[in-house]
Amino acid sequence: MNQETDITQIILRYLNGECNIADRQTLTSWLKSSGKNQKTFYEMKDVWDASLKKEDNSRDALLRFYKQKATKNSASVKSLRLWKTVAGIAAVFIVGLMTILFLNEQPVKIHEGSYETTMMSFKVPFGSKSEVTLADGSTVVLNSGSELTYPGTFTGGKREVSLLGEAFFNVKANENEPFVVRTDHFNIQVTGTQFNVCSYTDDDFSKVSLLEGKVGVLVGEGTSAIDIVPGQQFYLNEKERKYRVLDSDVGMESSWKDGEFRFKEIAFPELLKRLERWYDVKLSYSSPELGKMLYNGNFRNQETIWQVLDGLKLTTSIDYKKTGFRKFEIIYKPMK
Amino acid sequence: MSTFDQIFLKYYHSLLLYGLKFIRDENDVHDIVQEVFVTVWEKEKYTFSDAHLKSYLFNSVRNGCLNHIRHQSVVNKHIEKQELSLLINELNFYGSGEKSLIEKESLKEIYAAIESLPPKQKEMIELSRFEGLKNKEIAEKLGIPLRTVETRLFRALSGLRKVLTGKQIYILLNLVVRHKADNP
Repeated sequence: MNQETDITQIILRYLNGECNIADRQTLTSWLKSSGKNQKTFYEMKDVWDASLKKEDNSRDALLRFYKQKATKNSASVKSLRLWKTVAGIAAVFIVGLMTILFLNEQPVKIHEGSYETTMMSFKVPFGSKSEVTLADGSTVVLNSGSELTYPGTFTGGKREVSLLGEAFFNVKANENEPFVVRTDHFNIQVTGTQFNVCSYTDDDFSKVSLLEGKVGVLVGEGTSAIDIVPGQQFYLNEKERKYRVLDSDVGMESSWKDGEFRFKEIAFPELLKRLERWYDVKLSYSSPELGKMLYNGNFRNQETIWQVLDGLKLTTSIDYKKTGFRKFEIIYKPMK
Repeated sequence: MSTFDQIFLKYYHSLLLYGLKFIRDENDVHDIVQEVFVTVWEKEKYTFSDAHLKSYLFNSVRNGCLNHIRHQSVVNKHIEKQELSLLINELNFYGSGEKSLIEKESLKEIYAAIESLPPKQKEMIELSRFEGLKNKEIAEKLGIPLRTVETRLFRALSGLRKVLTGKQIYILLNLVVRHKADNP
Protein backbone atom coordinates (compact mmCIF):
# COMPACT_ATOMS: atom_id res chain seq x y z
CA MET A 1 0.00 0.00 0.00
CA ASN A 2 1.39 3.38 -0.93
CA GLN A 3 0.92 6.28 1.37
CA GLU A 4 1.68 9.92 1.08
CA THR A 5 3.42 11.63 3.90
CA ASP A 6 4.82 15.07 4.36
CA ILE A 7 8.41 15.15 5.56
CA THR A 8 7.52 17.72 8.24
CA GLN A 9 4.98 15.25 9.58
CA ILE A 10 7.63 12.57 9.77
CA ILE A 11 10.06 14.91 11.51
CA LEU A 12 7.42 15.89 14.05
CA ARG A 13 6.61 12.23 14.65
CA TYR A 14 10.31 11.52 15.12
CA LEU A 15 10.60 14.35 17.65
CA ASN A 16 7.54 13.04 19.49
CA GLY A 17 9.01 9.54 19.61
CA GLU A 18 6.24 8.19 17.39
CA CYS A 19 8.22 7.10 14.32
CA ASN A 20 7.55 3.70 12.79
CA ILE A 21 10.05 1.76 10.67
CA ALA A 22 8.84 3.20 7.36
CA ASP A 23 9.02 6.75 8.76
CA ARG A 24 12.55 6.25 9.99
CA GLN A 25 13.66 4.88 6.64
CA THR A 26 12.09 7.79 4.79
CA LEU A 27 13.69 10.25 7.18
CA THR A 28 17.12 8.63 6.88
CA SER A 29 17.10 8.70 3.10
CA TRP A 30 15.77 12.28 3.07
CA LEU A 31 18.63 13.29 5.37
CA LYS A 32 21.21 11.44 3.28
CA SER A 33 20.04 13.09 0.08
CA SER A 34 21.44 16.51 0.97
CA GLY A 35 23.51 18.33 3.55
CA LYS A 36 20.93 21.08 3.52
CA ASN A 37 18.23 18.66 4.60
CA GLN A 38 20.42 17.56 7.49
CA LYS A 39 20.95 21.13 8.61
CA THR A 40 17.22 21.86 8.37
CA PHE A 41 16.47 18.78 10.46
CA TYR A 42 19.01 19.67 13.15
CA GLU A 43 17.68 23.24 13.29
CA MET A 44 14.14 22.06 13.74
CA LYS A 45 15.11 19.48 16.34
CA ASP A 46 17.15 22.13 18.13
CA VAL A 47 14.18 24.49 18.56
CA TRP A 48 12.15 21.51 19.73
CA ASP A 49 14.82 20.51 22.26
CA ALA A 50 15.37 24.08 23.44
CA SER A 51 11.68 24.74 24.10
CA LEU A 52 11.26 21.79 26.47
CA LYS A 53 10.24 23.09 29.87
CA LYS A 54 11.33 21.01 32.82
CA GLU A 55 11.40 21.59 36.53
CA ASP A 56 14.76 23.02 37.46
CA ASN A 57 16.36 20.56 39.89
CA SER A 58 19.79 22.20 39.93
CA ARG A 59 19.85 22.59 43.70
CA ASP A 60 19.05 18.91 44.33
CA ALA A 61 21.66 17.99 41.75
CA LEU A 62 24.26 20.11 43.53
CA LEU A 63 23.49 18.37 46.83
CA ARG A 64 23.79 15.02 45.15
CA PHE A 65 27.06 16.09 43.62
CA TYR A 66 28.50 16.82 47.06
CA LYS A 67 27.07 13.62 48.47
CA GLN A 68 28.76 11.60 45.74
CA LYS A 69 32.05 13.37 46.27
CA ALA A 70 31.86 12.82 50.00
CA THR A 71 31.37 9.09 49.64
CA LYS A 72 34.00 8.77 46.92
CA ASN A 73 37.02 10.33 48.61
CA SER A 74 36.20 11.07 52.19
CA ALA A 75 39.93 11.18 52.87
CA SER A 76 40.44 14.64 51.48
CA VAL A 77 39.99 17.54 53.89
CA LYS A 78 37.82 19.37 51.39
CA SER A 79 35.19 16.69 51.13
CA LEU A 80 35.25 15.97 54.88
CA ARG A 81 34.18 19.50 55.47
CA LEU A 82 31.51 19.11 52.84
CA TRP A 83 30.34 15.90 54.39
CA LYS A 84 29.34 17.79 57.50
CA THR A 85 27.06 20.12 55.60
CA VAL A 86 25.69 17.26 53.64
CA ALA A 87 25.02 14.90 56.56
CA GLY A 88 22.09 16.92 57.85
CA ILE A 89 20.22 16.73 54.60
CA ALA A 90 21.35 13.24 53.64
CA ALA A 91 18.20 11.63 54.95
CA VAL A 92 16.05 13.84 52.78
CA PHE A 93 17.47 12.79 49.50
CA ILE A 94 18.42 9.22 50.26
CA VAL A 95 15.01 8.26 48.93
CA GLY A 96 15.78 10.09 45.72
CA LEU A 97 19.12 8.36 45.47
CA MET A 98 17.64 4.94 45.87
CA THR A 99 15.19 5.57 43.09
CA ILE A 100 17.99 6.62 40.80
CA LEU A 101 20.07 3.55 41.59
CA PHE A 102 17.08 1.38 40.94
CA LEU A 103 16.27 3.05 37.64
CA ASN A 104 19.83 2.68 36.43
CA GLU A 105 19.81 -1.02 37.07
CA GLN A 106 19.21 -2.26 33.57
CA PRO A 107 19.98 -5.79 32.54
CA VAL A 108 22.90 -6.11 30.17
CA LYS A 109 22.05 -8.48 27.37
CA ILE A 110 24.81 -10.25 25.53
CA HIS A 111 23.94 -12.68 22.81
CA GLU A 112 25.95 -15.82 22.26
CA GLY A 113 28.01 -16.24 19.07
CA SER A 114 25.57 -18.24 16.98
CA TYR A 115 23.04 -15.48 17.50
CA GLU A 116 24.95 -12.71 15.80
CA THR A 117 24.07 -13.10 12.13
CA THR A 118 22.58 -9.82 10.83
CA MET A 119 20.25 -9.39 13.76
CA MET A 120 17.67 -6.67 13.44
CA SER A 121 15.85 -5.12 16.30
CA PHE A 122 12.68 -3.16 16.51
CA LYS A 123 11.81 -1.09 19.52
CA VAL A 124 8.39 0.43 20.07
CA PRO A 125 8.39 3.56 22.24
CA PHE A 126 5.97 4.02 25.12
CA GLY A 127 2.62 5.30 23.98
CA SER A 128 2.42 3.39 20.70
CA LYS A 129 2.33 -0.05 19.12
CA SER A 130 3.64 -1.38 15.84
CA GLU A 131 3.70 -4.43 13.60
CA VAL A 132 6.68 -6.31 12.16
CA THR A 133 6.55 -8.88 9.40
CA LEU A 134 9.30 -11.50 9.65
CA ALA A 135 11.18 -13.15 6.78
CA ASP A 136 8.90 -16.22 6.86
CA GLY A 137 5.69 -14.15 6.66
CA SER A 138 4.86 -14.46 10.36
CA THR A 139 3.62 -11.22 11.90
CA VAL A 140 4.35 -9.77 15.31
CA VAL A 141 2.37 -6.89 16.82
CA LEU A 142 4.48 -5.17 19.47
CA ASN A 143 2.91 -3.34 22.40
CA SER A 144 4.22 -0.09 23.96
CA GLY A 145 7.76 -0.17 25.34
CA SER A 146 8.58 -3.53 23.76
CA GLU A 147 11.53 -4.72 21.73
CA LEU A 148 11.85 -7.60 19.28
CA THR A 149 15.21 -8.90 18.05
CA TYR A 150 15.10 -11.09 14.97
CA PRO A 151 17.37 -12.23 12.13
CA GLY A 152 16.94 -10.62 8.70
CA THR A 153 16.62 -14.12 7.26
CA PHE A 154 16.02 -17.40 9.04
CA THR A 155 18.79 -19.96 8.55
CA GLY A 156 19.77 -23.37 9.90
CA GLY A 157 16.27 -24.82 9.92
CA LYS A 158 15.08 -22.77 12.84
CA ARG A 159 13.24 -19.54 13.40
CA GLU A 160 14.32 -17.73 16.53
CA VAL A 161 13.40 -14.29 17.89
CA SER A 162 13.85 -12.54 21.26
CA LEU A 163 11.26 -10.44 23.02
CA LEU A 164 11.38 -7.86 25.79
CA GLY A 165 7.91 -6.65 26.69
CA GLU A 166 4.60 -7.67 25.14
CA ALA A 167 3.75 -8.96 21.67
CA PHE A 168 1.08 -10.83 19.79
CA PHE A 169 2.48 -13.47 17.44
CA ASN A 170 0.81 -14.91 14.37
CA VAL A 171 3.25 -17.61 13.28
CA LYS A 172 3.14 -19.19 9.80
CA ALA A 173 2.91 -22.97 10.11
CA ASN A 174 6.07 -24.88 9.23
CA GLU A 175 6.64 -28.23 10.97
CA ASN A 176 10.23 -28.48 9.74
CA GLU A 177 11.36 -25.13 11.02
CA PRO A 178 10.23 -24.71 14.62
CA PHE A 179 9.63 -21.15 15.73
CA VAL A 180 11.12 -20.14 19.10
CA VAL A 181 10.43 -16.99 21.10
CA ARG A 182 13.09 -16.30 23.73
CA THR A 183 12.30 -14.14 26.74
CA ASP A 184 14.34 -13.42 29.87
CA HIS A 185 12.51 -16.16 31.72
CA PHE A 186 11.56 -18.89 29.30
CA ASN A 187 11.55 -19.98 25.67
CA ILE A 188 8.39 -20.73 23.74
CA GLN A 189 8.37 -23.40 21.02
CA VAL A 190 5.72 -23.25 18.35
CA THR A 191 5.03 -24.57 14.88
CA GLY A 192 2.20 -22.39 13.63
CA THR A 193 -0.20 -20.54 15.87
CA GLN A 194 -1.49 -17.33 17.44
CA PHE A 195 -0.47 -16.32 20.92
CA ASN A 196 0.25 -13.38 23.19
CA VAL A 197 3.43 -13.04 25.24
CA CYS A 198 3.75 -10.53 28.05
CA SER A 199 7.20 -10.31 29.63
CA TYR A 200 8.15 -6.77 30.70
CA THR A 201 11.30 -6.42 32.77
CA ASP A 202 9.54 -4.17 35.28
CA ASP A 203 6.74 -6.65 35.98
CA ASP A 204 7.29 -9.50 38.41
CA PHE A 205 5.37 -11.92 36.24
CA SER A 206 5.49 -13.19 32.64
CA LYS A 207 2.70 -14.88 30.78
CA VAL A 208 1.87 -16.64 27.52
CA SER A 209 -1.76 -16.83 26.35
CA LEU A 210 -2.75 -19.10 23.49
CA LEU A 211 -5.51 -18.35 20.99
CA GLU A 212 -4.88 -21.00 18.36
CA GLY A 213 -2.64 -24.02 17.75
CA LYS A 214 -0.20 -25.37 20.27
CA VAL A 215 2.83 -24.01 22.09
CA GLY A 216 5.31 -25.46 24.56
CA VAL A 217 7.02 -23.35 27.20
CA LEU A 218 10.57 -24.19 28.29
CA VAL A 219 11.35 -22.64 31.64
CA GLY A 220 14.91 -23.87 32.16
CA GLU A 221 17.67 -25.65 30.29
CA GLY A 222 17.09 -29.39 30.10
CA THR A 223 13.53 -29.29 31.34
CA SER A 224 10.68 -30.64 29.26
CA ALA A 225 8.22 -28.30 27.61
CA ILE A 226 4.99 -27.39 29.35
CA ASP A 227 2.29 -27.61 26.69
CA ILE A 228 -0.69 -25.30 26.69
CA VAL A 229 -3.84 -25.50 24.58
CA PRO A 230 -6.05 -22.69 23.19
CA GLY A 231 -7.86 -20.77 25.93
CA GLN A 232 -5.11 -21.46 28.43
CA GLN A 233 -2.48 -19.25 29.92
CA PHE A 234 0.97 -20.05 31.23
CA TYR A 235 1.66 -17.72 34.17
CA LEU A 236 5.10 -17.42 35.74
CA ASN A 237 5.64 -15.73 39.08
CA GLU A 238 9.20 -14.48 38.60
CA LYS A 239 9.93 -13.83 42.27
CA GLU A 240 8.96 -17.27 43.51
CA ARG A 241 10.00 -19.00 40.27
CA LYS A 242 6.65 -20.80 40.28
CA TYR A 243 4.38 -21.28 37.32
CA ARG A 244 0.85 -22.43 36.73
CA VAL A 245 -1.33 -23.14 33.74
CA LEU A 246 -4.82 -21.70 34.00
CA ASP A 247 -7.90 -21.15 31.88
CA SER A 248 -8.10 -17.51 30.91
CA ASP A 249 -9.88 -14.98 28.74
CA VAL A 250 -7.18 -15.05 26.08
CA GLY A 251 -9.11 -12.64 23.84
CA MET A 252 -8.94 -10.08 26.62
CA GLU A 253 -5.21 -10.64 27.07
CA SER A 254 -4.54 -9.70 23.46
CA SER A 255 -7.23 -7.02 23.10
CA TRP A 256 -4.49 -4.32 23.11
CA LYS A 257 -3.47 -5.29 19.57
CA ASP A 258 -6.82 -3.98 18.32
CA GLY A 259 -6.33 -0.70 20.16
CA GLU A 260 -8.46 -1.77 23.10
CA PHE A 261 -7.48 -2.29 26.69
CA ARG A 262 -9.74 -4.70 28.54
CA PHE A 263 -8.92 -5.99 31.98
CA LYS A 264 -10.57 -7.96 34.73
CA GLU A 265 -9.62 -7.99 38.38
CA ILE A 266 -6.17 -6.62 37.94
CA ALA A 267 -4.40 -4.99 40.87
CA PHE A 268 -4.00 -1.23 40.98
CA PRO A 269 -0.18 -1.26 40.59
CA GLU A 270 -0.51 -3.38 37.45
CA LEU A 271 -3.20 -1.08 36.07
CA LEU A 272 -0.87 1.91 36.57
CA LYS A 273 2.01 0.17 34.81
CA ARG A 274 -0.23 -0.66 31.86
CA LEU A 275 -1.44 2.93 31.63
CA GLU A 276 2.13 4.24 31.91
CA ARG A 277 3.25 2.20 28.93
CA TRP A 278 0.12 2.79 26.92
CA TYR A 279 0.09 6.58 27.36
CA ASP A 280 3.80 7.25 27.92
CA VAL A 281 3.27 8.91 31.29
CA LYS A 282 4.59 8.44 34.84
CA LEU A 283 2.00 7.63 37.50
CA SER A 284 2.75 7.42 41.19
CA TYR A 285 0.79 6.80 44.37
CA SER A 286 1.60 6.55 48.05
CA SER A 287 -1.60 5.48 49.85
CA PRO A 288 -1.45 1.77 50.77
CA GLU A 289 -5.24 1.53 50.33
CA LEU A 290 -4.80 1.88 46.58
CA GLY A 291 -2.47 -1.13 46.34
CA LYS A 292 -5.31 -3.40 47.51
CA MET A 293 -7.89 -2.40 44.92
CA LEU A 294 -8.83 -4.62 42.02
CA TYR A 295 -10.04 -3.16 38.75
CA ASN A 296 -12.28 -4.23 35.91
CA GLY A 297 -12.57 -2.04 32.89
CA ASN A 298 -12.42 -1.29 29.23
CA PHE A 299 -10.59 1.55 27.49
CA ARG A 300 -10.07 2.35 23.89
CA ASN A 301 -6.88 3.93 22.66
CA GLN A 302 -8.84 6.97 21.44
CA GLU A 303 -9.21 8.16 25.00
CA THR A 304 -6.54 10.48 26.35
CA ILE A 305 -4.82 9.91 29.68
CA TRP A 306 -6.90 12.73 31.18
CA GLN A 307 -10.13 11.07 30.09
CA VAL A 308 -8.98 7.78 31.56
CA LEU A 309 -7.99 9.38 34.86
CA ASP A 310 -11.26 11.32 34.98
CA GLY A 311 -13.09 8.05 34.35
CA LEU A 312 -11.29 6.38 37.24
CA LYS A 313 -11.95 9.41 39.42
CA LEU A 314 -15.68 9.26 38.76
CA THR A 315 -16.06 5.56 39.37
CA THR A 316 -13.53 4.73 42.07
CA SER A 317 -12.00 6.20 45.22
CA ILE A 318 -9.22 8.14 43.58
CA ASP A 319 -8.27 11.63 42.66
CA TYR A 320 -5.23 12.76 40.74
CA LYS A 321 -2.99 15.76 40.27
CA LYS A 322 -0.45 16.66 37.65
CA THR A 323 3.02 16.84 39.18
CA GLY A 324 5.26 17.40 36.19
CA PHE A 325 5.95 16.78 32.53
CA ARG A 326 3.64 13.83 31.75
CA LYS A 327 3.68 12.91 35.44
CA PHE A 328 0.66 12.40 37.70
CA GLU A 329 0.15 11.48 41.31
CA ILE A 330 -2.83 9.31 42.21
CA ILE A 331 -4.38 10.10 45.56
CA TYR A 332 -6.69 7.89 47.60
CA LYS A 333 -10.00 9.63 48.26
CA PRO A 334 -12.75 7.55 49.89
CA MET A 335 -16.12 8.05 48.24
CA LYS A 336 -18.86 9.62 50.27
CA MET B 1 28.24 30.39 47.97
CA SER B 2 31.50 29.25 46.39
CA THR B 3 32.43 30.00 42.80
CA PHE B 4 31.94 26.31 42.06
CA ASP B 5 28.37 26.33 43.40
CA GLN B 6 27.55 29.39 41.33
CA ILE B 7 28.86 27.77 38.16
CA PHE B 8 27.00 24.54 38.91
CA LEU B 9 23.69 26.31 39.45
CA LYS B 10 24.21 28.56 36.45
CA TYR B 11 24.84 25.79 33.95
CA TYR B 12 23.41 22.53 35.32
CA HIS B 13 19.89 22.86 33.93
CA SER B 14 21.02 24.00 30.47
CA LEU B 15 23.56 21.18 30.32
CA LEU B 16 20.87 18.68 31.28
CA LEU B 17 18.62 19.95 28.46
CA TYR B 18 21.59 19.85 26.10
CA GLY B 19 22.31 16.22 27.00
CA LEU B 20 18.63 15.33 26.57
CA LYS B 21 19.03 16.28 22.89
CA PHE B 22 21.04 13.13 22.41
CA ILE B 23 19.99 10.76 25.18
CA ARG B 24 16.39 10.28 26.22
CA ASP B 25 17.05 8.80 29.66
CA GLU B 26 17.26 11.69 32.12
CA ASN B 27 19.19 9.65 34.69
CA ASP B 28 21.90 8.84 32.18
CA VAL B 29 22.20 12.51 31.23
CA HIS B 30 22.32 13.50 34.87
CA ASP B 31 25.24 11.11 35.42
CA ILE B 32 27.08 12.51 32.42
CA VAL B 33 26.65 16.12 33.60
CA GLN B 34 27.73 15.13 37.12
CA GLU B 35 30.89 13.52 35.72
CA VAL B 36 31.73 16.75 33.89
CA PHE B 37 31.39 18.71 37.12
CA VAL B 38 33.62 16.21 38.94
CA THR B 39 36.36 17.10 36.46
CA VAL B 40 35.63 20.81 36.83
CA TRP B 41 36.03 20.40 40.57
CA GLU B 42 39.11 18.21 40.55
CA LYS B 43 41.00 20.05 37.85
CA GLU B 44 39.81 23.42 39.18
CA LYS B 45 38.48 24.39 35.78
CA TYR B 46 36.23 26.96 37.45
CA THR B 47 39.14 29.38 37.21
CA PHE B 48 38.58 29.46 33.43
CA SER B 49 37.19 32.62 31.89
CA ASP B 50 33.42 32.63 31.49
CA ALA B 51 33.22 32.05 27.74
CA HIS B 52 35.98 29.46 27.82
CA LEU B 53 34.31 27.60 30.69
CA LYS B 54 30.92 27.60 28.98
CA SER B 55 32.17 26.01 25.77
CA TYR B 56 34.28 23.62 27.83
CA LEU B 57 31.15 22.47 29.71
CA PHE B 58 28.96 22.02 26.63
CA ASN B 59 31.73 20.21 24.73
CA SER B 60 32.37 17.89 27.67
CA VAL B 61 28.69 17.00 28.02
CA ARG B 62 28.48 16.29 24.29
CA ASN B 63 31.58 14.08 24.41
CA GLY B 64 30.14 12.33 27.45
CA CYS B 65 26.96 11.62 25.48
CA LEU B 66 28.96 10.32 22.52
CA ASN B 67 30.94 7.95 24.74
CA HIS B 68 27.78 6.82 26.46
CA ILE B 69 26.05 6.06 23.14
CA ARG B 70 29.10 4.22 21.78
CA HIS B 71 29.33 2.19 24.95
CA GLN B 72 25.61 1.39 24.79
CA SER B 73 25.88 0.21 21.21
CA VAL B 74 28.64 -2.23 22.24
CA VAL B 75 26.91 -3.58 25.33
CA ASN B 76 23.47 -3.64 23.79
CA LYS B 77 24.11 -5.08 20.34
CA HIS B 78 20.59 -4.75 19.12
CA ILE B 79 20.42 -0.96 19.28
CA GLU B 80 19.01 0.17 15.98
CA LYS B 81 21.65 1.02 13.40
CA GLN B 82 19.69 3.83 11.72
CA GLU B 83 18.85 5.43 15.03
CA LEU B 84 22.52 5.20 16.02
CA SER B 85 23.89 6.78 12.85
CA LEU B 86 21.29 9.53 13.07
CA LEU B 87 22.47 10.35 16.58
CA ILE B 88 26.20 10.14 15.82
CA ASN B 89 25.71 12.46 12.83
CA GLU B 90 23.88 14.96 15.00
CA LEU B 91 26.61 14.81 17.64
CA ASN B 92 29.25 15.36 14.97
CA PHE B 93 27.27 18.32 13.62
CA TYR B 94 27.58 20.03 17.01
CA GLY B 95 31.14 18.74 17.36
CA SER B 96 32.11 20.68 14.25
CA GLY B 97 31.54 24.02 15.94
CA GLU B 98 27.79 24.45 15.42
CA LYS B 99 26.11 25.70 18.60
CA SER B 100 22.72 24.70 19.92
CA LEU B 101 20.19 27.36 20.95
CA ILE B 102 20.47 25.87 24.43
CA GLU B 103 24.12 26.89 24.48
CA LYS B 104 23.74 30.21 22.70
CA GLU B 105 20.73 31.60 24.53
CA SER B 106 19.82 31.66 28.18
CA LEU B 107 16.68 29.74 29.10
CA LYS B 108 15.14 33.04 30.12
CA GLU B 109 15.58 34.34 26.59
CA ILE B 110 14.09 31.18 25.11
CA TYR B 111 10.98 31.44 27.30
CA ALA B 112 10.69 35.16 26.53
CA ALA B 113 10.83 34.33 22.83
CA ILE B 114 8.02 31.80 23.28
CA GLU B 115 5.99 34.49 25.09
CA SER B 116 6.40 36.80 22.12
CA LEU B 117 4.98 34.34 19.57
CA PRO B 118 1.53 34.86 18.02
CA PRO B 119 -1.13 33.28 20.33
CA LYS B 120 -1.77 30.18 18.20
CA GLN B 121 1.91 29.35 17.88
CA LYS B 122 2.52 30.03 21.55
CA GLU B 123 -0.35 27.72 22.46
CA MET B 124 1.19 24.92 20.39
CA ILE B 125 4.59 25.20 22.09
CA GLU B 126 2.97 25.37 25.52
CA LEU B 127 0.80 22.29 24.98
CA SER B 128 3.53 20.27 23.34
CA ARG B 129 6.71 21.32 25.12
CA PHE B 130 5.47 22.59 28.50
CA GLU B 131 2.50 20.32 29.12
CA GLY B 132 4.02 17.37 27.30
CA LEU B 133 0.94 16.56 25.21
CA LYS B 134 1.36 14.31 22.18
CA ASN B 135 0.07 15.68 18.87
CA LYS B 136 -2.93 13.38 18.98
CA GLU B 137 -3.82 14.64 22.45
CA ILE B 138 -3.53 18.27 21.31
CA ALA B 139 -5.83 17.51 18.37
CA GLU B 140 -8.45 16.15 20.77
CA LYS B 141 -8.10 18.90 23.30
CA LEU B 142 -8.55 21.64 20.70
CA GLY B 143 -10.98 19.67 18.55
CA ILE B 144 -8.93 20.15 15.38
CA PRO B 145 -7.54 17.57 12.91
CA LEU B 146 -4.15 16.00 13.64
CA ARG B 147 -2.82 17.37 10.37
CA THR B 148 -3.66 20.92 11.49
CA VAL B 149 -1.84 20.36 14.78
CA GLU B 150 1.23 19.19 12.89
CA THR B 151 1.19 22.17 10.54
CA ARG B 152 0.69 24.64 13.38
CA LEU B 153 3.39 23.03 15.49
CA PHE B 154 5.81 23.20 12.60
CA ARG B 155 4.98 26.89 12.08
CA ALA B 156 5.41 27.50 15.80
CA LEU B 157 8.86 25.88 15.85
CA SER B 158 9.83 27.76 12.73
CA GLY B 159 8.48 31.01 14.20
CA LEU B 160 10.37 30.46 17.44
CA ARG B 161 13.57 29.88 15.57
CA LYS B 162 13.00 33.09 13.66
CA VAL B 163 12.53 35.09 16.87
CA LEU B 164 15.68 33.58 18.35
CA THR B 165 18.02 33.68 15.37
CA GLY B 166 16.35 35.85 12.77
CA LYS B 167 16.30 32.82 10.48
CA GLN B 168 13.35 30.78 9.36
CA ILE B 169 13.37 27.02 8.85
CA TYR B 170 12.82 26.24 5.21
CA ILE B 171 11.13 23.04 4.25
CA LEU B 172 8.88 22.88 1.24
CA LEU B 173 5.77 22.41 3.30
CA ASN B 174 4.01 20.33 0.75
CA LEU B 175 6.90 18.17 -0.30
CA VAL B 176 5.36 14.78 -0.62
CA VAL B 177 7.31 11.64 0.01
CA ARG B 178 6.09 8.36 -1.36
CA HIS B 179 7.06 5.18 0.33
CA LYS B 180 5.90 1.65 0.83
CA ALA B 181 4.28 1.14 4.18
CA ASP B 182 5.95 -1.07 6.79
CA ASN B 183 8.47 -3.31 5.18
CA PRO B 184 11.20 -4.05 7.69
